[in-house]
Amino acid sequence: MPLSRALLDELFRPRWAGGWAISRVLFALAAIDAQIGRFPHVRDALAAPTIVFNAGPAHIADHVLFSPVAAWGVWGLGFAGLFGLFRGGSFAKPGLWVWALSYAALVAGCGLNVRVPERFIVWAVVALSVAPIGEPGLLKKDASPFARYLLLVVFGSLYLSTGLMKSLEEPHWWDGTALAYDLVDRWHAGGPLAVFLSGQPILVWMASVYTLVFEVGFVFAILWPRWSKWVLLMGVGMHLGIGSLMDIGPLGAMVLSLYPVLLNPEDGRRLWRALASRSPARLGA
Amino acid sequence: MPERFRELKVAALLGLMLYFGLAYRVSLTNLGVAKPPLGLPAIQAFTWLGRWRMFTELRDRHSDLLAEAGRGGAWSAIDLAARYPNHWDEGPGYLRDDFYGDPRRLEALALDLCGLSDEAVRFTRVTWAKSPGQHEQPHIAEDRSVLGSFDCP
Repeated sequence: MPLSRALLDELFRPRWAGGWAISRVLFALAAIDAQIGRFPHVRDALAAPTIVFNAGPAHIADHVLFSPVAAWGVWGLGFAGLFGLFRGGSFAKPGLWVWALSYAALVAGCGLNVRVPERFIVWAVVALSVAPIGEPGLLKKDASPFARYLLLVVFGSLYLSTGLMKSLEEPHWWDGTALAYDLVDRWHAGGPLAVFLSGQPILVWMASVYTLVFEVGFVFAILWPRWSKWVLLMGVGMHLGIGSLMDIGPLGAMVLSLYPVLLNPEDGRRLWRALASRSPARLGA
Repeated sequence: MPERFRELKVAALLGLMLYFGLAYRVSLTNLGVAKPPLGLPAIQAFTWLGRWRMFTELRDRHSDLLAEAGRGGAWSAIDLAARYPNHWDEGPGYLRDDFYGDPRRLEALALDLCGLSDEAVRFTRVTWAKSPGQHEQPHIAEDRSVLGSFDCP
């Protein structure tokens, strides 16, 4: 089958792998930031007997409950793993897995707290595990695009499914009121800027439609090299907007940290070369 | 040298797309806009990792959980926030929607709340309309529904 072989040759042609080097560092920083933010809550949220009220279907906390010292120890192990991921090289993947396992151990008993961010982390860890993140000199070399494809499928499904559900099943996303109500949510939002925006029907409608267009359009635009950088720029705008208006945990930072991989590899290479030519010593060019 | 297992990798990617498609279908069922597929409980568990429902539906009401201890026919409020201060990203676990629909969790919470002289503990869900454009969120159009009453041992 020469045609299918040619297709496979093209599909798996090595591409610029520098995006993985950048995303590894950004992902580690995003996870370190989240890890530090959770430190004060480790005992109350994850090592207190009341965790049973947050239990998931498995009711793990009915059988195993960390002592505060053990919970902080597991937290520290995860922190060390993240430094390994940040450092890179042969530390990258073991560090990633140590952090992922420690995170899973901490939140497994606390089922109500295992939600979209945790699901996303699982897929991110899978993609990073098959990506060439531990290889040296990634900024100057090409590698298999398989892990990037995996990430594209994950991001495509994430944005498309939430975008379709909003745009097809909830008409109030089209008039902006669904977003306006979310902006005054007691736990997710309620800051001065969010409250102000929730009372501006035209602005909140624009933000709402922007969200729908981005989420539904992402999966189509990202496949076209000409559009991919623009749709990613829209995504940066959306996630920064959410981050400044709402508190939804570490999801936004972790999602954005993987954007360099999603960028068309040739665009990424050109961008990196342009940046490196301006500051060659800092960027290792 | 061509990459190894290319066909297998393509199959894995296609399988993953199907998986996410199935997860989307289950999300629609959970939203109440699609018929449940055959074998829903198993499919629910199987697709759990692929469901991305975020801020989808209109959430125009605030929600709170009111706990009361019953003693000699009178009910007195219990300060849940003081008893269970644990937070994780989005507020206390007992205020999550998932909590209200699970009698097992409510019963566990009731048993923990039962004091020495309490005869029963009951839970009421209090909701009120959100007021966009203002910091104060007064209890407009308040609605109360008793979730359950549990006898103390």
